[in-house]
Amino acid sequence: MTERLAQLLHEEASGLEVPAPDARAVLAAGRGVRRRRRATSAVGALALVAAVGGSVLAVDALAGGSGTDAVDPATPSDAGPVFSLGTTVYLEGGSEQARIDDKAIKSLFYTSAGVLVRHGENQNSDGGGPQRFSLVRPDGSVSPIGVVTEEAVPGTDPEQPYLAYASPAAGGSYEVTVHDLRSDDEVASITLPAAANSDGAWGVPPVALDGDRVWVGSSPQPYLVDWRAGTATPTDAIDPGIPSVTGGRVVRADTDEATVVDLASGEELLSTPLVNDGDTDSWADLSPDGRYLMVTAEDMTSPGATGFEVYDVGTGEAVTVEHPPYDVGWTGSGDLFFLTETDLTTCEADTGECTTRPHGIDVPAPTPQREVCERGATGEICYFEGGGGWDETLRVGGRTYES
Amino acid sequence: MTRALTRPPSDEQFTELVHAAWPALYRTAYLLVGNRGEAEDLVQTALAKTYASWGRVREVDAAAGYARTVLVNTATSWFRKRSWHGEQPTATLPERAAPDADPTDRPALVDALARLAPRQRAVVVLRYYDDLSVAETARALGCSEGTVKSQTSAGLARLRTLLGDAVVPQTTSTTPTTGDLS
Repeated sequence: MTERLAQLLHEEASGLEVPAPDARAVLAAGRGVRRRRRATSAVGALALVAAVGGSVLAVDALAGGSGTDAVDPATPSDAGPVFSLGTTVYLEGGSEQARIDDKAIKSLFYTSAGVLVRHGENQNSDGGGPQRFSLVRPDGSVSPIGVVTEEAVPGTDPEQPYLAYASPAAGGSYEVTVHDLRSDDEVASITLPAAANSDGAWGVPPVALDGDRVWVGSSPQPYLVDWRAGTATPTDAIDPGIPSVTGGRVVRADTDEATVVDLASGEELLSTPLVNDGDTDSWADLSPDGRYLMVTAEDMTSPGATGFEVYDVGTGEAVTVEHPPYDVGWTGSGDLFFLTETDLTTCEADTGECTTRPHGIDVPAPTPQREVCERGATGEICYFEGGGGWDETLRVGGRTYES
Repeated sequence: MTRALTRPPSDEQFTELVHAAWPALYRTAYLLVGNRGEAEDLVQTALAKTYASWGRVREVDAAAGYARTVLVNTATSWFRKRSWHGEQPTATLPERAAPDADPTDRPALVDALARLAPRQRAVVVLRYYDDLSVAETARALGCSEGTVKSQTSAGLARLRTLLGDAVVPQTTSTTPTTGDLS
């Protein structure tokens, strides 16, 4: 019986004197918004071209090339919503798909050469054994990549065709390797100083790739590697641990605040509170292009009933998406997406507008839970395996899946 | 028949949209923010963002609806970012109005709306002013239908406290009536 409320609302609204719109002002403002968005993208591209142009000789010296192909395509990968179920990778929200010849997919990375798939014996990133890689091109063709890592957090850049990773080097130190995914060749290898240790959470220091720079979250001293110049210098621009670097920006977070910093200028672009008080768990995650920041605040006393906020780092404005954040992916162009058993929902990060459509994919049947017992050194060890839902093997693009 | 939009609109096309959509958006904006100047700013911002995202509008017929979604999300962002002048502390308000309270002491409708949490205010305005269904409101706000229902229920309970049972009767269903409101 809300007729009276509806009637009052309509009376209130119809009694308003509506001012005439200034269409020219709206148009000018719209053009301004469009220009700012374009400028944000263009700045990254310009910086990239300048850096590549100034370091061609150094790259060639390392790679032994002629220099004719040293300028990399700075075309960001945008295969729409990218996700995997089982060992099948879906591009463009499911319209293109590719099978990976392995037991499980661990995570999906965006590069300008296509989607880089990390896979192996199981879905685990840490303690999951060998990490193998395959490249899925936009047409769905698959090429295995000749890199195997273990206990590593690799780095990719949506605008670069490279994979960066750390591995143990002679003498107890570590080295950073950059691998060209197009040719499946190593193009750079830089040995890190002895002060660049792993803090024990990973087997080797975790890295992030951003243009020509590899950010190394070593402990206690993080390092910045210019892989084309072959240099490694200490940096305080990031913290030890996984470097949350994308699009020339880093998000640095402690228990009660997340701050996005422009790595070139050091300018603080955005700061937002986090709540980590035992009852609430908060974290912040940059989009692959660095334009948006996902901020969560999950009420641990009421699991499952949570949404999250997405900030436009450039404007500071935020929208709310009412969906649990853990299985929400980013597209290469900074939109958000998530799946249900039947539908795919895509949300614009700048407006919060979401579109839902059936994905038409036969999702895997839930696996029955079973008890597995193995004989260990100290006796029989039993654990439960399976028992998950259709999304037990779901992996979405643009998320790290590192623990 | 709808027309697919593959390129930005001409100035004439967009000006036409601004004039056509402005009055309805302005009224919705006013109910959301409770202030004429802020409502004007909000509609202008929403339409400017719509222009900048024109490639995603897909169809001319969908442009006004798209702009309304942007408007509501922008308003929610404003509520969060600016210590919103319309927000009133809720801790000091009674859970229920006294049954014999003087009706003239009750706040006006717009003031009462301003005392709702932003999401509650949005669902109340979209459902009972814009006459959107639960599903349409969920799509406009980018949330689940369950969230719309729970926010509607909470918003109506709060309005009942503020405006009295005569406006929002205790037996109120959360299904809006879209019949003759004149």
